[in-house]
Formats: sequence, C-alpha cells, structure tokens
Amino acid sequence: MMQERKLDVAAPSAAARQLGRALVVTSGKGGVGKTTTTANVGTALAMRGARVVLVDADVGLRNLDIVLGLEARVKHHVLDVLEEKVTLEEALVRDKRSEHLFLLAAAQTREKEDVDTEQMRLLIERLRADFDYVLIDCPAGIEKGFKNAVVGAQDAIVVCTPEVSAVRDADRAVGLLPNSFRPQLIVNRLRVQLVKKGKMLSVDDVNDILRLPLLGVIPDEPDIIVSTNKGEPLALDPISPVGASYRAIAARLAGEEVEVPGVREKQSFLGSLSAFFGGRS
Amino acid sequence: MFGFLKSLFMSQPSSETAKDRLRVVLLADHLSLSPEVVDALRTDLLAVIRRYVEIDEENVDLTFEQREKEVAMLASVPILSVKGSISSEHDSRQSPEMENTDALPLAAVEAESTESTESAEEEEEVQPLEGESTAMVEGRRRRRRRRPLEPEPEPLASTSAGAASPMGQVQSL
Repeated sequence: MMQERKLDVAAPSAAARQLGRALVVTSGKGGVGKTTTTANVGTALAMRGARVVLVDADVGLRNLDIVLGLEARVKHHVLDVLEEKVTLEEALVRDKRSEHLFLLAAAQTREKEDVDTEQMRLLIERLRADFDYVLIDCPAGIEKGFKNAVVGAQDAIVVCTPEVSAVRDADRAVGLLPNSFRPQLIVNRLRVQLVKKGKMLSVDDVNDILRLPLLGVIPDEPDIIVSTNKGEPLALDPISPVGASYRAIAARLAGEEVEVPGVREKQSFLGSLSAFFGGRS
Repeated sequence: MFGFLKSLFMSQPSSETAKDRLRVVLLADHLSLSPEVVDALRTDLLAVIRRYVEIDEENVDLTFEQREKEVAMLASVPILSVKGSISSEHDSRQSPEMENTDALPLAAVEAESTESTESAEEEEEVQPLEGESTAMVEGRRRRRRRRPLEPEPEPLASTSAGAASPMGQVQSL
C-alpha cells in the first residue's frame, strides 16, 4: 500500500494538478542511448519549467544516477519504496542543477523478478500525481524488466541507432508495446558523413522500416562522452548541437512544432542536417 | 549465377544492403511472431486449392523459409484427386456441386469419347432408346463410364418437364 504523504517540495496539491505524462524510454537493444536520452530529455523538460521525475527501472544495474552526476546523493532506490522501507520523498534525489528535476534510482543488489509489476504501476501513478513528466528508463531486453518499465506508462519513446541490430530489436520492442501507445522515434548516434557516403542507414531508411512519428535525431558527437564523464547532461550546454537536439525534443513533447531538419527528402535532409549540426558530423 | 548475383549485391552501398536485409529479416520475424496471421493464410489457401482438387488436409505442410534476398512460403499439399474424376471418393454422392462440375471437363471427355465409343471399357453396352438422338446416347455412355456405380439415368423421353434427371440438367446447359 502506497503512502499518501505529499512531497515536501513546493508543489500544487495532487487534486489541483492534472496527472502528468508517464513515458517509457525503450529500445529493445542495449547500449543505444536510452539512459543518456532519458537524462537529457528530462533535463531539457525541467529547463522549460516542467516538474520532471526520472525513474531508473533497471534492476541490478544502475545508470541514470551516474549519467546525471548524482551517484553520491543516492541513498535509496525503487525497491526500497515499493517494499515501503522508505517513503517516496526520502528516496527521490533532487538534481544538482535543475530544481524541478528528480531521480528515483534503480536497485542494484536485487533482481528483476523481485519487482512486483502491479506495485510498479501504482508507483508510476503516484508519481504522475506529483509531476508533469515521469520518464521511465527501461532496461535492455524484452522480458520482466521491460514489462515492469512499461506497465505504468501511457506512451513510449523508442531510441534506435542506425544499425541493423538496433533496428531489428526496436521493431520487436515496438511490437510488444500496448496497442494504446503511439510510440515516437529518436534516432541516436547519426553520423551524417557516413550517411552521405552510403555507409550508414539514414533516418529515412530507419523509419521506412519502423514507421514511427519522428521525435528527434541526435548526432554522434565526442561531446556526449565528455558529458557523461563529467556527469553534466548536454541539454544544459547552449553551444552543443546535441544539446540543441535534446531541447528540440523536449519542445516537441510539450506540443511545440519544431521542425526536424529536412526529414522528407534525403538530399535536403543531409544538407540541412549537416548545417544544423554545424557541419561537424 | 550465384557469384554474379552476389557481386551485384556487393556493389551496392552498404547502407542499401543493410536496408534490404532488414526488410527481409523483419518479414520473417513478423511471420514467425504472428501465428494467427499464418493460420488465416493457411485456411484461405487451402480453401482456394480445394476448389480445384481434393486434398489430404491432415498432411498439409506450410512453412516459411528465410533466404538471402527474400522470405519464401513453401506449401506441400498432397492431392488426392482432381474434382469429378473416376478416382474421386465423392463419386457415389449425388451433390448438386458434382452435377455442375460434370459439365466442366465435358469438352475434353467429348474428344475422348468419340474415339472410344466402340471400346471394350464399357461393362454394359448402352442401347439407344426410342426417341433418343445420337448425342443423347453418347451422353449416357460418357456418364456410365465416369460413374459406374450410379444407376442408369432415366431417358429424357419418359420424364416430365422439370424433373431433375442428370441428362435433363446437361441438356439445359
């Protein structure tokens, strides 16, 4: 049974606010950038003034905290909350830089089978009452971890890199999402020069197969690893084209019409994408 | 041939190769992941085949084979007989369906029968009846050969209009 205490941070009462949106960030394949995407999109949404909570739904592996630079501040995790060892308020970690951004860390020493799916669903529902956005970082795979991550969500963001394995796995993962979902695609680690040379699948190539509304495109940049090295999401960086892409994604999620550069025709797409990313890709 | 095709394939940009391979592999994945679709396809396929031949449904084998550039559906459908032939097990049934399909191979059988009117295949000689035309006699002879288990149909002369005799039906066509 979930406790009913309100969060001790300034927030309108649950009755007054609308329920927030819970989105699961998934991919099927591991290592394509779900965690980095969750951290950055969450940061970008919080920068716009939204109240955001990021939930690391992995069990056994903990990543969201380290990507955000919050690893030293994590004292409790999801399972502690589900098993009522601590309150939700005690487990939530506020971000260093964004006052509206919170993290609920993964349980490291437990197993996916320890998580009760129904309890997870109730937790996400509880979070929706207190936040505008609940972003759930889904573990790789399509078994129990995937199911637990999806159960509380209303919709999904599918992260996919332009590679055969990633596309195949993304297709499989999309097939397992509830029919009510309208998943959107983020193509991650695009290298425009390789696409131009015909050595990498283009965004259109990927989406001709997956056929999802395109939420955004993230270029592959050295900035990214530097940002995770330091625990500083690129969404905060006003200069980085990667940061700009993440902020554009947040704007689109919030309902703004932000054009994804030339996504209709391959020629102009590459041209404008190259220009958009400062010709560095 | 394969070597030539392969080199043609290889000269594509690798992203094209990737796209082609993904299309094929996902087709195979989707087929193997939705048994309902495959079942429906099988049902419809066999229904179409049954319009032309009798099949041994229990021994039908339907599989999907993933190849390099395509997914192929392989169907093994044992055929018991062509519809309306002597060897068909449905010969003794007098279904309306059988009546109509009689008419279909008539052209082929007609060609045959003009050659074999005098053949020793007939167990019992068909005698022309009073008022019967040559065509009518031929018709009876052909039907006797195809359905030896059936009783001799009534000649047209002795039936009233509207009687559902086999000859009457053929005549009306």
